Amino acid sequence: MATAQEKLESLRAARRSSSGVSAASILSVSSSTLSQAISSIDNGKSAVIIELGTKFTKLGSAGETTPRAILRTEYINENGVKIDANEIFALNDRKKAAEKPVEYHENIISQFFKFLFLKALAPTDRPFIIVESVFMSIDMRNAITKTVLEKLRAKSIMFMPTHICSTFAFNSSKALVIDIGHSECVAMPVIEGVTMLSEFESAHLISGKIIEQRCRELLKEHGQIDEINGERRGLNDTDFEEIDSNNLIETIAINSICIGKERAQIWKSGKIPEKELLKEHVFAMNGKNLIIPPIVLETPLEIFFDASLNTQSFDKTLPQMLFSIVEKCPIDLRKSLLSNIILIGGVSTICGLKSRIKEELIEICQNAQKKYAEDVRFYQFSKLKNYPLFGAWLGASLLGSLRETVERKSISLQDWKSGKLAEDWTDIIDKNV
Amino acid sequence: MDLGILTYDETEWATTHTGNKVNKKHGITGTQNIIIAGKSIIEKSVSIRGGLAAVRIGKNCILKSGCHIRPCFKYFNKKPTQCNTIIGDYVFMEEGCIVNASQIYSFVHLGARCILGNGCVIRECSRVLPGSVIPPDTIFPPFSTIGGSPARVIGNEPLCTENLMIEACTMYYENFVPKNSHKPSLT
Amino acid sequence: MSALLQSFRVKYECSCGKFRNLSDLHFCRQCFKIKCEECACVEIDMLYCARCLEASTVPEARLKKNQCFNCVECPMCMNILSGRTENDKFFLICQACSWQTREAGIEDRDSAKKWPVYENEITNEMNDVMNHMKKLEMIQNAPKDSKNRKISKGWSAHHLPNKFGLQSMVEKKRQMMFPDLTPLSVHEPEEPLSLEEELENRYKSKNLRTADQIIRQPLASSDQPLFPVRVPLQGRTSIRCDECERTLVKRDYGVVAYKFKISAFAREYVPDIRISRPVQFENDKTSHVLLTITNLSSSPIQLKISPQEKSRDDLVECSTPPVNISIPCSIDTDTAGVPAEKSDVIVFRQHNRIGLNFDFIPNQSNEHFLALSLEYTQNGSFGLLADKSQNTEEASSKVLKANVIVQLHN
Repeated sequence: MATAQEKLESLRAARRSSSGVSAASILSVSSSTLSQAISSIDNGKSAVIIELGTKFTKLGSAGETTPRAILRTEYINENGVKIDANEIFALNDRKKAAEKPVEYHENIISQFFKFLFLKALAPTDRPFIIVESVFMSIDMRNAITKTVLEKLRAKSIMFMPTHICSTFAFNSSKALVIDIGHSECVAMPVIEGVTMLSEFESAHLISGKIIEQRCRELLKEHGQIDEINGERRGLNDTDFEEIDSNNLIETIAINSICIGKERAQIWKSGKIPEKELLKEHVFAMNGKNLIIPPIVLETPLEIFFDASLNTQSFDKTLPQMLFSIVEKCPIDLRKSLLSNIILIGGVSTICGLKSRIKEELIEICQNAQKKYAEDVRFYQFSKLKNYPLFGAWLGASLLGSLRETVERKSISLQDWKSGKLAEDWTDIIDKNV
Repeated sequence: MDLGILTYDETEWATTHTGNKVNKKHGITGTQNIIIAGKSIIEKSVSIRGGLAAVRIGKNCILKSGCHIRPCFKYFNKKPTQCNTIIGDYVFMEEGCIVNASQIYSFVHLGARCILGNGCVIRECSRVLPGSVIPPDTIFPPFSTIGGSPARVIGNEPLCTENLMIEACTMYYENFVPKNSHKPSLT
Repeated sequence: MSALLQSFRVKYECSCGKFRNLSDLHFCRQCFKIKCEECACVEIDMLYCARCLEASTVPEARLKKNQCFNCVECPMCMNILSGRTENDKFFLICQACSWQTREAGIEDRDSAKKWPVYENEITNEMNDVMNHMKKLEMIQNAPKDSKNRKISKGWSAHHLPNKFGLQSMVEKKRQMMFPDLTPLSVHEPEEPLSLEEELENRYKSKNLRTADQIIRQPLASSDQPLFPVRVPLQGRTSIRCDECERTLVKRDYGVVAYKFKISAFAREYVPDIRISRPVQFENDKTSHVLLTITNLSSSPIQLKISPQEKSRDDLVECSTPPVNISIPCSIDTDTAGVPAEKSDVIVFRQHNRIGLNFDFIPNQSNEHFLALSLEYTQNGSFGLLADKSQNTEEASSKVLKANVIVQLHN
């Protein structure tokens, strides 16, 4: 560390003297330990990056590669009542937002942020970067800006859309980014740094919430209870209450797998496939044993691919969505788009999802006699399987380490008071045109 | 609400010269190892196992009926050894607490039927909710509200807990009078 | 402790409009207002580990990444791990769920510290990407900086590559504004693994991995066992008034200090009202409630209590007239100076406590709240300037107000 100290001194001297950084110091920024030391000792504090998801919130410091904390988006308020993500995100849903005054929702958001920060980082006087879904409502955005600037006294705030953030880590110039989250799935291409917004597709059917619902239905149909006296029976309401108190449905959904199309057809027809992939799982619960047969762990994701399972919704299935995105794109991009797929969002960590998507895409393109799916490839970090959980956060963290860009795009408290609103993607489009 | 007057039958209680009021139907063993500072109230069926190790209890403590204080043991080279238990001042223990803790600091309020695991440490001004089970060897910071099973810190106590506990424990002690004494009823 | 005294039944109004227990409120001595934790600024002044109670300042904590290096928690149930020795080597065991470090395949160690933690494998790659982005940023910003300077219009040597080695100064400037950009390779997309391969790799354990376990250790992939997790540091707060920026509460140095360097609890500046006896309700007839008012401050108080109008359905109608009383402070032993008033309302007096009887008519509904408003003056020692013995006359004439709601039902 001795030579690192000397370099740090020269860097500090450079910062104090000239407006920019001298050539020598930039070229010396090469080793990873040095850059980390700089980011921690540097005069300006590094930015705080938050990604607010409907299920998990990821927060951390800019320049780091792992979020400091991943927490559930819920908190317990002063009366001991649990406020969950639906209430926090109520402003996104116009119908729900109209039920109560705006101050009520702003209050909930500010309490949630205070809860986040009491556990971890000291937020005063640091720039904030919030990673948001492209379709976050203006009311929600303004409420967050108000909380962060006025209540938490942050230095400035900036919003970044999830899709373009996800491409930073891979340094790719074109990609089809699919964000499968807890509440919805939004997919759109990002080419040469431009989010092609008009070619987006979204579906509420393809989400973590629907998988949990499906697990519940399958468990009701196929699950069994083994009592102490050896009797076996189906599940009743008290069993479900105990299951909910253990959060078991969520655990089943996370550990489920996505099987191939052939095997899914066998399950659908009511037979049991010959080759056993997963054994039945026994879960001990209050003296009884809950038997979870393999069908519950293998078939919940069929709802993404099989249109006949959900007749009430108008949403397309996942492969149909991707196909229509590719069709909407300009001709020169179509062929290579499917070779550059980025999957982020918690649901994307499920085993077997990627190979099933590839299988379905090949089939759908063959039926339509198009050549898009000749070579389906995914961007992934094979050593870091949970990467999709915080992929967008990571991209924003990389962006957050660029101080000048962050300064340019954020708004501070004075700007907010004078009526300026936080920049969003519509502004960028207008300005560039 | 003000703590009301509690009367007790003088024949059932013994008062020491330091002001401790001990119910004669207690389960305290090994009294030579137990030091109680003063002005404490120990109700019936409280068992303090002084025979295992030294127990030191501070002043103005209140131990309600059914509490068990048992010194903890730690493993040194595979052999368990008993360690001393230290309880601070102004500690209020409600009915049925089972205390295997190694240290309870001052101004702590233990709820009814809570179980403190072997060797745990509860620091000042904390409150343990009734029915919570604290796993062994856990340490809790000051001003924490502890609850659940296994117990976790689920909230923060108000910062003026020290003054509140002093007021409540002194009020309890002053209002704990024998049946036949003439204490004005409205205080 | 507030549970013992049932102090949640009496709520005071804070300057932000919310009603809270008196024990949760603070008093700003400069602006003479009651503040709660929501409307005042809460700042983190120190971080500490909840298990080993080791303190670290905010910059230190950032270096440590908000994790304690000494303590580890069980990945399954998030309780503390206790150490045991066997054959002179340590291993950790969770007392609540019997998980051992041996289950994760970690060998027993010689010292009880430094258990393995997962590293982020892509850190180096990400740092390369970050440097690349920094260079891109410089290139993007350079023309904007140079617009302000006076550069000779037209021809500029900056954009030409340094083919002929002309003029080292131009070369240096060029390097600064447009650093050589070796294009960073893209992390190539890969073919997906088949389902069988992925299932093979998945770590086989008896229990399904829950979401909580995964989010505590995002770096543990599904093919790796769960390691003990480093305990995250928690923040300790100090409270500051948002209007006048004065510190209201500051704890003493040290994690386990329960004393305060600066403390301004509302209990010491506002009279404390408590219900003295359980309330007996008589339907539709005048019922009574006995309230005790305690003066815990350092100055005698001239107090006027008046019941408020019934403005909401759950408030009760109170027929007692407003009362003017003076309560001495707790330090004064001079109780003889206080007149022994006898009236229907004042029931008893004792040192710095006074008992008042209020008559009210119960509501039709199940909820009965009594609204009172207090107006009081003190001898000037409440203000901040009183500590420096200045201007006590000004401060003593100021009338302080507080609104109280008392919950009469159980």
